Amino acid sequence: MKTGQVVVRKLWPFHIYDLEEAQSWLEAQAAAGWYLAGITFCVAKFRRGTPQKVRYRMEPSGDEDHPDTGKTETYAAYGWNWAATWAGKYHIYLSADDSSAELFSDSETLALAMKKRIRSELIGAVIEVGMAAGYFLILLYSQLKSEHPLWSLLDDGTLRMVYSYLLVTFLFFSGCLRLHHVMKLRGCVLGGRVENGDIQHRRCFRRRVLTFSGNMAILLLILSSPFWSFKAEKTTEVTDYGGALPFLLIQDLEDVKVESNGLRIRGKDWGNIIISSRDLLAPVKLELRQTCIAVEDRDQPYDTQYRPYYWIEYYEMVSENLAVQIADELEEKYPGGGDFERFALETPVGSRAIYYTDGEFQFLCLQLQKRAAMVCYSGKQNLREYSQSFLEKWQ
Amino acid sequence: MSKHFTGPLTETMFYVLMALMRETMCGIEIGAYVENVTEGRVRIGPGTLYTILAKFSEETWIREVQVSGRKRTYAITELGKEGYLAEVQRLRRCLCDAEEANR
Repeated sequence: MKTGQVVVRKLWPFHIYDLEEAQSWLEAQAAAGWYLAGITFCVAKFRRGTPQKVRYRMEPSGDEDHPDTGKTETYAAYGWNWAATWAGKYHIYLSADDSSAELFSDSETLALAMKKRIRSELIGAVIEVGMAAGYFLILLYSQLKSEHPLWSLLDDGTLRMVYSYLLVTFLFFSGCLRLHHVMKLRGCVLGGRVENGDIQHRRCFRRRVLTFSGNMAILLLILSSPFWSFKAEKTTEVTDYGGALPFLLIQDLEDVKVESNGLRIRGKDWGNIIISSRDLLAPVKLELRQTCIAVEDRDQPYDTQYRPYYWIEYYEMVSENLAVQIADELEEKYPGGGDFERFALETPVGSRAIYYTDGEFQFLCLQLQKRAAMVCYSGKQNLREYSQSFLEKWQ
Repeated sequence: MSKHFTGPLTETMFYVLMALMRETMCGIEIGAYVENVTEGRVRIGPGTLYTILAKFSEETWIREVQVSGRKRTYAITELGKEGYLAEVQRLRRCLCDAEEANR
């Protein structure tokens, strides 16, 4: 049978356990004048030839892309010509000679040849199921033991958690399905069913499309989860607030750049973030509500002590004790209070200004050079309003 | 017999050993011999033949004695002979049992 140069590509919808279906489909293609010329991923390449009744058979291979030449010549002497290799797992042979013996003339030997392939597929399927189960247990453990570090990675949005569980479920069922099919193939091979069955490529195609769509949908959900997580209410626990925010928090924020000595946030309205502050004045939790302002001060001369921008962040107290503690400390250190105007101009490298209020008095925590903390306060003006005007000025 | 073989030889395996009991042969010659001796009843496919030769080589029932270009010639080993003769013995008993049962 001669084949020409005309090439068409068709979706190759078969899993490696769909041997009978794949063989039948290839024979149907040959009967229509299309002969297999190669398989790349999920695409089979066909060349035009004389429509003819042929037999396609598959032989498990040992991960090589091409059978050795001596073997192909011997097979050709038996009437079987190598057509393609499928994913390094099967060599596909074609015979146009009705009188030639079957590639595998007895089922016992086919079972013997398939043994290694089935075993490796079984191991793969079991690993997939095992990984899904392991991932599920980790998720569950993290959720039950919320202090576990993994929890903070996962618990940054309800939707992301849902996706994680969805992924686990999908992985698990996909693994189970694979296991089922491999076991079925094993049963067929060991049971000696080597002859072709009905043409089932439509069924295979539907199944492959469904699997592919499922995979893509899950992938899309996972990839889009950060976006949707930002839309959802967000709560992230951070345990170290000395200097730059830890990577854990930074990776979850939109449009955040880590600078050499701090971070710069341009996001707006990105939800609630709970920060456990150890390095500020007291180990308490502060809840950052809604507003985070980054102000770039282009007129500020840059040198080793001054950065060209400031950060002003608004916090609302969630701990009354902190207010009392800060008030006591600042009264002790700065009797009479500080000057906000002066503070705004003299914020040094890597500093962080934090505004607190408990309704009675207002003060600023100024974190200098990562560690040292200085507190100023002012009862003379509304710092929130001042900072907003400051922002408008520099925007 | 090797510990890997737990059951009797398949018909094809038996005939492959039978061919190699006569003389050293390459794959194609084995196939031709088997087809000839069984008068066409047993036709060994290339996949089957290669799998059996690989299995027997792995179990050291046969060994390669000559590689001439792409032609590989095989010879049966002592272990292979033992296996073959044990199988002949088993089949003989099967025949005796069948004759006994038909009397």
